[in-house]
Amino acid sequence: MEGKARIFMVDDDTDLVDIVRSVLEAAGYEFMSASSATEALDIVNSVAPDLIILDVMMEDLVAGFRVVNNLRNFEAFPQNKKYEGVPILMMTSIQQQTRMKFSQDAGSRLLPIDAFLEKPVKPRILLEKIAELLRR
Amino acid sequence: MRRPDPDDPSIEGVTAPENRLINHFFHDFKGGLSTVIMSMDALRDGIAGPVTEGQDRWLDKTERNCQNLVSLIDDFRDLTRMEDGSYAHEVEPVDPTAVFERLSTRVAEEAARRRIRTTFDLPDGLPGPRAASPLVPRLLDRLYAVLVDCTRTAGVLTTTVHIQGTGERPELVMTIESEGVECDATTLESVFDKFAQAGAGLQLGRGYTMLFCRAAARTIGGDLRLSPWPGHGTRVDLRLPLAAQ
Amino acid sequence: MSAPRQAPPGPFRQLPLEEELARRGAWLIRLRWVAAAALFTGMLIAWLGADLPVPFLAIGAVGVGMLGYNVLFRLILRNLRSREVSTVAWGRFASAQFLTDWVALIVLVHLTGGIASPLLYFFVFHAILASILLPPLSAYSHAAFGVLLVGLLAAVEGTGLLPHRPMTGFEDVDHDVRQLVIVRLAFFATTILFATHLAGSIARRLWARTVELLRMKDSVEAAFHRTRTLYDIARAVNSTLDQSQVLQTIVARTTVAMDGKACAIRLLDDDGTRLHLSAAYGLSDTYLQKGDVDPAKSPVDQSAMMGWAVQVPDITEATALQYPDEARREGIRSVVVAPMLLRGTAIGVLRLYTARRREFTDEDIGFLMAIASQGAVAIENARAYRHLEELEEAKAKFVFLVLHELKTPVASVRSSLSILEEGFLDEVDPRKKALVARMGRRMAGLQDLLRDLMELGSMKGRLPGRAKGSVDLGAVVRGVAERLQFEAERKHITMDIVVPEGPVVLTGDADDLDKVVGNLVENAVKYTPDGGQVAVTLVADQDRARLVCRDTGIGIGEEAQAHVFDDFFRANNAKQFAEGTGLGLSLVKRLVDLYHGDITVASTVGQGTTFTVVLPME
Repeated sequence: MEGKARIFMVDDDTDLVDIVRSVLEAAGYEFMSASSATEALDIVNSVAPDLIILDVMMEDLVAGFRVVNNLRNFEAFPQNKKYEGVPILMMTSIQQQTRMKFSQDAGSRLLPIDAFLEKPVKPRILLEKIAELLRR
Repeated sequence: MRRPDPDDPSIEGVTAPENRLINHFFHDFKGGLSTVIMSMDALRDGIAGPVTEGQDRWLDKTERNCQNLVSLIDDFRDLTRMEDGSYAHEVEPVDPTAVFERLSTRVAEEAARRRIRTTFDLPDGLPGPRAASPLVPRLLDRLYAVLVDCTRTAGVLTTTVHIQGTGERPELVMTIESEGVECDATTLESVFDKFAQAGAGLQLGRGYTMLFCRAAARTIGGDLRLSPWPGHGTRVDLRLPLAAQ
Repeated sequence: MSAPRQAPPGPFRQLPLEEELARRGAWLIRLRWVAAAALFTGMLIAWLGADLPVPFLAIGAVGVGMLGYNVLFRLILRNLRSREVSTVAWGRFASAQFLTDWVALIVLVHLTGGIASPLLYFFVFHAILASILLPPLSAYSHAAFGVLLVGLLAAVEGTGLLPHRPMTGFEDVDHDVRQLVIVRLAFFATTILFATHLAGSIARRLWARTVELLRMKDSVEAAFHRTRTLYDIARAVNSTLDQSQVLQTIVARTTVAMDGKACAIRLLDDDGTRLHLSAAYGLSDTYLQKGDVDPAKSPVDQSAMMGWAVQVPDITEATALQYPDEARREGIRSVVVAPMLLRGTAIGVLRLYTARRREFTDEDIGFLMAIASQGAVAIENARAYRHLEELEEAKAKFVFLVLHELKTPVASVRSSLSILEEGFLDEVDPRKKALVARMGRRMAGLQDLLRDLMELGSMKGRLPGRAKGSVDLGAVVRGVAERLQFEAERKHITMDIVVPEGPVVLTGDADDLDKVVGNLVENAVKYTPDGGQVAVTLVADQDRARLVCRDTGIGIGEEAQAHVFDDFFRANNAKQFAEGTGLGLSLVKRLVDLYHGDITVASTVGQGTTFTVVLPME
């Protein structure tokens, strides 16, 4: 499964997306990306990802949270129930920008994501984290 | 004179846009550095083919400079937040023994480059893991980076730790002595004057780092003081409160 | 809310009591018109119907006389009103009217039968009127005077000095029988005095109530006016943090509300030894230039600084001021000094001056103390705000310094990367080279970010036209075009620069204008694909310079156009097309605003963008 898994990265930093693409493709993953929350929600169905890497601050301060809410709030978005098992890895540098404590809140009802990494992230750490999340 | 809207005399209203601008800057600046750092890591990992040993060393050095910039930006951002009281004070489980172990290893590594002898005198029976601010390990990291920098080549850097007070509010008291320049009181005080530090450069070890360390210590309820170590160098007294288990 | 009440013109304020007396004087005059009319009507009836043997001519003459002196009184009334005289003058005016009336009436009585005249009863009306309108003693004097007049008439007619003229058909009194005349006179005197007494005691009670009501009305109005003043001052205190503006409002409003001549606020200086003038109203420049007040030499200020309000009802009799001669020359007679207390400590004094001698009541003093403490609050607010502003400024300065110091390490990382990229260490293959080059560009972007943010920071708090000088905008445009020529050629973009022959001179700073033009043209080149066009046109149009920068670039979406001048805003298509900080256009906008100019954008996605800047010329 690992080698064929499809990773969907949502980040507006094109340099970062390209470097992560190189890293992940070299590790044998399939890689697709979107540069905004709006675009991500538009194409998520056609991408059908196995794992999502998500930035927070894109077109606005909380764009990433909007994506999380769409994919995890099944009451409001029942059509997204199919993403219940798709892990979300939040990768951002804004930790202190919000009052949210990412490391602790990750996985809680408040922030229903599966893992959190603060930028800058070492490629090795990223690969380990992805492998761990996909094993679950 | 700038005059606020009569209907909105709140001072927050006056400063908020300025803070937004700075926050945005932090985000963009740190984001850019993070991407560059990750690219260097990927390059060293051989993403674009193998790199030579010389290139790897060069990349390592450059990457460390970038990491320092990230630390500076983080410290500076948190320093301004601590000063205006908007720092979100977090608590997470911290094991003092583990913290000191990691710290002494790292410090010894750094110090070895300049043949500095470091000693850590820890009391028997350090308390077990307890809730503490993640600022504690960060503060110690930054503080020792400065101290290693200030200690003269082949000098001595000693740390004595003991627990003071018992019961509800015990304190961790650290006395650190660095052999090197013996500062007079005026110079020591200017270390905490942010405007006096301007122009001192932003390499880790000078500039705003001590200011950050003291603000961090105070934010979590402790304090940091510098004093001359007559005839030898500089002494640091650091008090950190230990939360209940 | 109604408009604030203005003080009436003139140095004296008309008291309602005096106005009431004036009204009564006027009433008497109106009654006299009626009396005269009644007299003529009576004569007409007597002449037509009763065929009474009345000396019409003489009575008519008295009637005309009444009309005449009434006109005279009317004129006097108007004159007294315009001069706004005291209550005593109004009393004299009323007495004069009564005495004249007594004389007219006694003549009529004589003409219509002397002591037997039916008009004798009219004396009663007058006695009642006098006791209503005059103080008791005057009323009794008037009554006694009336009795005396009638007694004299009886005596004169009885002794035959004047002929007694009985009216036919009326009961006459035989003057030969002295007792009858005396009895008649006694009854008359009793009636008059009794009527005076009765009417007087009722009128006195009414008068006392009237006076009380009027005084209350006056004090309620004054209290209302003062409350309004306090309210207005409190509002002024809360609506601005500009200390001098608040204090100016306070002195002006206090002077009006207290009906004073002038008002001033003096604040204790930093070392706490002298009182420095901070606001004044109604005082001449000469007086204001007398210098700071030393509380040690000015007992009133000394007392005020200890927290007590002090009044000097007459400065000519007092030695409590530091500058008594100056005050006299200024036309000041009375002074009150109230402390401006902030949490029990005086930080200054509020002084109220009047031109007339005046004893200030406890209410006056209380009011001034309340105003003074409002002033103290205003000063504290302004000081607290200034302090916060200083903190903010220090913070901004600190940020600025840190940004400045980030520049060197960022530049050093960038040059490290270019050393790697150029292959100075070891050979780099094209793939690695491209990756390192990309990192280098990113670091360059961070350098731009620092530069732009510092430029924005240096804009903060800058006054318009700080750097005054004459700048030729045409030369600025040519300079920018020259600088960007290389980059444009690299992208095969044709640059079309149209600048007037002569100079287009603006007042300002060449660097500012270079940033405006530079950012716009740089953007145009940056966001225009290879082979496109950039046209920059400068036109001097009377008093304005118009700069149009047009490109055939990627364009800006309609939605994005609204945010294009926001800090850190970058349109999605721009982000994908090139690196940028999102601060360039917000800097341009701030600069254009600083120069009182205007900037607009028009764009179509995929076709190009036009920025138009209009700047006022010298």
